[in-house]
Amino acid sequence: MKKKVWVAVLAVLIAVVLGAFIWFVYFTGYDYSMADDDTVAVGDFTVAAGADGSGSLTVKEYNNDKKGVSGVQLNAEAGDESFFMWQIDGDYEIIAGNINNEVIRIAPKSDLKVLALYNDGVNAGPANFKIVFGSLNEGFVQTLKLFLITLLGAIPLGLIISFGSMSKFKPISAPVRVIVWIVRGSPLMLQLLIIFYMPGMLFGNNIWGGDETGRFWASAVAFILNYACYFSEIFRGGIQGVPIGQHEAGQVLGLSKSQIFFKVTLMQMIKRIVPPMSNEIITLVKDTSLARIIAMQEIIWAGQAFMKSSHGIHGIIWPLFSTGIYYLAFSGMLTLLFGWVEKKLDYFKV
Amino acid sequence: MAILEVKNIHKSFGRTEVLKGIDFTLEKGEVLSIIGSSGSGKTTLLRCLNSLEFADKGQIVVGGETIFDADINKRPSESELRQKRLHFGLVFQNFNLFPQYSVLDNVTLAPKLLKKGTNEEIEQTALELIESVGLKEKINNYPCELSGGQQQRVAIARALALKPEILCFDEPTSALDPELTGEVLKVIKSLADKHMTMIVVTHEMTFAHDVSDKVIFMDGGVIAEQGAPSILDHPESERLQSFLTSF
Repeated sequence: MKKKVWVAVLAVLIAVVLGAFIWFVYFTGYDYSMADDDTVAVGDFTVAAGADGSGSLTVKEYNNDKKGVSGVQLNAEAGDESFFMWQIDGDYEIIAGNINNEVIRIAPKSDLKVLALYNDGVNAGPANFKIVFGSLNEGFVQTLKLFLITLLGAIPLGLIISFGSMSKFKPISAPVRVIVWIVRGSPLMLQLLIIFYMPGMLFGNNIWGGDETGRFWASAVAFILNYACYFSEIFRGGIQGVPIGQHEAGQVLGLSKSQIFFKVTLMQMIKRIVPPMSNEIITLVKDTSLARIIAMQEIIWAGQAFMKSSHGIHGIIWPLFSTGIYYLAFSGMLTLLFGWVEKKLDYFKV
Repeated sequence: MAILEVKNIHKSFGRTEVLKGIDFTLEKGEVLSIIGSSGSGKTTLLRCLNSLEFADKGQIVVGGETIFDADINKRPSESELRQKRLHFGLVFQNFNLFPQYSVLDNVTLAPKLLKKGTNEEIEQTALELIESVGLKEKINNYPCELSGGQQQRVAIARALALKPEILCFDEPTSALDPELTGEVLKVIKSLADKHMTMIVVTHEMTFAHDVSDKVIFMDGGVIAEQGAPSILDHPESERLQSFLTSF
């Protein structure tokens, strides 16, 4: 009975989330523009100043095979309140327009049929699916790359830092603990900015380079350093949590230090750190989005780009919201994976 | 010649002097029980013998070989230390079995890592040992599936697998309820019957009386009284008298 209630609650939640998503796509996904690959520019030409003597207008000819329409696209500069009053050279005439919303209707002079509609209630959301999700997929690949590189770097570095902070030799343990305090005590976003911009400020040249690869590696370094410090504390807890008796039992059996570490304590340490590590790793999935502060093109960046303009689509917000699906799906997979690992380690107790 | 000679062992932790000159000898095949109240230094003495602690003063001689001499300042190397430890086996109060290994693997782990023979030989010996402590049907179980008494018997088999010359027990039954205590003591007694040289730190007076060849009563870091188990029936010192009346 109780289980059924939970299943029902879960089903309702999933339905609400999916419903909200579909609503966003279908009711806010109006197409404000043509996609770039549908546009064939045949030449720009500027129209003379308006009746009030200000502003200018660029006209681009295009045709859209999918919609079977063609016409001209107008980009009016600010200050042109009444641009539809303009006389357009040659064959075209504006029949409606609003500069603030960039809503334009145009038609050839010879044929007053409306050729293209912008933001006129035609739902172009689904038509953009392929473009939007293609772009989100690209962003997610970057997210995954950053995630994996961070894990690969932060786990061994974290182990080294944990040994450093546990060292009985103060000149090693003291500075290591200070570094851990600084890294854990300040925002990751700030660390990203410092690591990306500081070398340029100090040495006069940006060692990362301004391109996407440079931004990726600057992000990777910041993430590895940050997560290594968090991991090191988890490792320290895991190592110190193994009872001293286990170590002594290994000693009286004549085992060497490395045999004791690898054959006796390591497995018990792993079992202890799986729950806190899974927590931290799932946090990492979401923290990768912070890399957009230095314009690394991860998935949130890709989604948000559509709010302005990306791949010839502008002014839509649902791609940004859709990025949540990627995070949920991926962290769901990780949750299952760690659950499986925990179950695999269930055969013994520590 | 005595298999073990302990000479004038002193050990302090900070300002607390825990052992204040311990001397005794043990013959091959003898069972020595060490009794005394908590904090009297019994466990520290065992830890010094097993090189888990290093005495500040004194010598330890096993079978004529000096394995520890506080007058030699040089700390032994890791591999020397490992060799010295192998003279002794130690069974802990709280078993300290390796939780991630099955009963069989707990017993075979060290002999395999120390290459004490072929895997078949080691496993054969381990099976015999496990059978001798009465856990033949548990070889594939994990420590968490065993009772305390069973775990302690596995720990005894694990210590025996390295064929130590002297087997030490640090309050082997203190973590067990009275019902489980019996099965562990039975195993230790059977080892005594096979003339295994053993040092048993214990609070089980009946056991000390019936099984040992020799009893040491420790008090305040010194041996207050030692001798045949009959000293438990007729204690000479007042301290031992009052200690025994508490049982």
